[in-house]
Amino acid sequence: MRSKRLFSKIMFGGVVLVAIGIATFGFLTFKDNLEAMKRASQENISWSASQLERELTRFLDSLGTSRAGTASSTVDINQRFDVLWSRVAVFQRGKVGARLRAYDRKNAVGRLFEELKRQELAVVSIKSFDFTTMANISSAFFPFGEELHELSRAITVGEETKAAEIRAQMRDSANFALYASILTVIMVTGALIYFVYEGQQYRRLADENEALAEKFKAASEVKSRFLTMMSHELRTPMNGVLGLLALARANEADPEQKERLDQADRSANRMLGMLTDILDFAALENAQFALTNKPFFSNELLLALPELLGPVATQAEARLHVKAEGELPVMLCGDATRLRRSYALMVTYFLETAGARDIGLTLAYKNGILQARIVVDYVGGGWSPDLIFGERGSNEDSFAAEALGPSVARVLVKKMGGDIALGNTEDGKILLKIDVPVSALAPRQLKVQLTMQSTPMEMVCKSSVAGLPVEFICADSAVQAEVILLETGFKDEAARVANIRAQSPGAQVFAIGRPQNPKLFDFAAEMPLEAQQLRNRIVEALQ
Amino acid sequence: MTQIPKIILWLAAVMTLAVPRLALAEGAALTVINSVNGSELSLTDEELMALPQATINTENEFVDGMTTFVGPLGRDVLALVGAGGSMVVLTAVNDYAVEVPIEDFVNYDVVFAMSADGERFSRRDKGPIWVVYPMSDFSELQDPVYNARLIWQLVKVEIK
Repeated sequence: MRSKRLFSKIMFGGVVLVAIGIATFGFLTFKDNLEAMKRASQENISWSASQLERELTRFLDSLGTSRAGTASSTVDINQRFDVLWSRVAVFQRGKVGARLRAYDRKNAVGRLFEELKRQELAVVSIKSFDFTTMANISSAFFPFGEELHELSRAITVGEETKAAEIRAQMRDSANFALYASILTVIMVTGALIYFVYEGQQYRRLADENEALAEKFKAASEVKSRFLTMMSHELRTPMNGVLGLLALARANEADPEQKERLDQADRSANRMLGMLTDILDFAALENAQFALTNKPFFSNELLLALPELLGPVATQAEARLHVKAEGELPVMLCGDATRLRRSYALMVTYFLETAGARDIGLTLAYKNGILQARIVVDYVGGGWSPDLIFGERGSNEDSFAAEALGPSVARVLVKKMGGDIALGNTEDGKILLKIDVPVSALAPRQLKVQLTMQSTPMEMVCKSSVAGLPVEFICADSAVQAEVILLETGFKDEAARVANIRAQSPGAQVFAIGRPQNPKLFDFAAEMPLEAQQLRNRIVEALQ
Repeated sequence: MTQIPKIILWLAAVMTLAVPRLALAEGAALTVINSVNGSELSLTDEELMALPQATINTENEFVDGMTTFVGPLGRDVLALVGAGGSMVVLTAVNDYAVEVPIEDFVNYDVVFAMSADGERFSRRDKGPIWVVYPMSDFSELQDPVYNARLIWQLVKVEIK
């Protein structure tokens, strides 16, 4: 394909170059033709030459006629002399004169002019019947007759030759223009045919690629569905196995049997973890996968990690430290679940595969980035941390199982716009950096006013937003409420809501219960069934 | 159209009526004949110069560069012998003659030039009259057909 594209480029370039060459040559030829046409349009100088010869003859005739004593007079002689003079003058001026002079290599006309000037006085003062002077003048000019005749003939032949050359040049140009036009048409037609053919080839390739992509997408979706289904199917019996193992371990007194049951339990747990990773991996490839961007407490994230990873660390007989470096913003906005999952997958991976003795997870917040630093002190050996980037090890089966968790974590971090980098600490420990952009929310207390008809419902509402930075205020408080929770179930609902909105114009009014007219409220939640939805709306209000 | 002074028209009319077949008078520079209506007129250099003088700047193949020609317009001279005809025969002192369509004198300011760059023509240099076309102003005039109509030493004009 690449060589074909190169060929197309060369062909296109060649056509362009040849076209430019033909155009340039055509332009130069056209210029020559124009010049030739100009020359062809010039005055016919043969006529001027023959006129000079003729006027010399007529002047000599006038002298001869006078000598013969006929009607010719001195006036006629002078007139013929003047006309002859004017014909000589034609040779001395203008483009016609220059062209005529070019043929007069012997300077016959120049000498004739000199003779005219020499004889001028004799001619203008000539008397009738002064035959001697007439004869002298005649003999002075007579030799020019033959020379002018030769000049006239040379000019005629020369002009005809030039005219023939011009005609030949124009004929050649016309032929060249014809051949160039035919060549250009052939080349352009050929190039067009080729490009149309090539375009069809590309279109067919594009269609094939599109079909392949569709096929691949369909296959991928089938694979994802299969993985999802299979991992679900496998997790159910695995949970059964784990449950029964737990029961057996609880009732087993024999230490040897207990140790075997513990080993079986660890294996089952690991298999369950792998099944979960498979499920996650399949979910990531699903087109419907979407990140959430909701506020969460940094402290909750910090506390959840040891809770989540503690059992795994214990099982791996490793120490786990989770802490914050510096002061974290109280509230962050991002996908807390996916963040927690990414960190957990990486830490689990190190615990289960690297033989880690000590793992430290530190969270810091800087310039809009939540920075996680996982420092791993491991035993060493043949294990390579590069596997977290999907580098293929010597044992491919091992790779597939071990790298699944990091793969899921890597994709999750990438989808959140983050970055993962692997390095070492100064004392040779593994250092994994996970940076994810997360926005910090300004810490504040949401002013929530509870307008309830019963104390239990008030308690339910308060518990649904427990842990959130919410300050509950009384209805008669001087502080303006931002959210008002109003329990429904009274008759004058519309008037009541209108009254509340009039008193607290900027506040959102949430209905607790089933309102008569939901449009009157910004939100409605049937408690306690929709406690989570209420909590989510309060979190949104916090933003 | 250049206005012809009344005195010239009067003179021309008197001459035309008084001497309908006037031969080339002594000192006459140009004979103008209208063969259609039979009128004929001989004009001296002075009479020609008394007509309204037109000036054209032009090049042609017989002069060096742009040249200023002065003389009466051809159509003014033709008007002296009345209208009519389709061709004009211009004849030089050596009997060389050329036929020119009468439209040339209508379409272009063809001048019967009597001087070039302020210098009067002598008979030894295209004089006394050279028929000059404004070739520099009209590219279609830059053609051998019009070169042939640049007749000099003009002595006779005949409308046919």
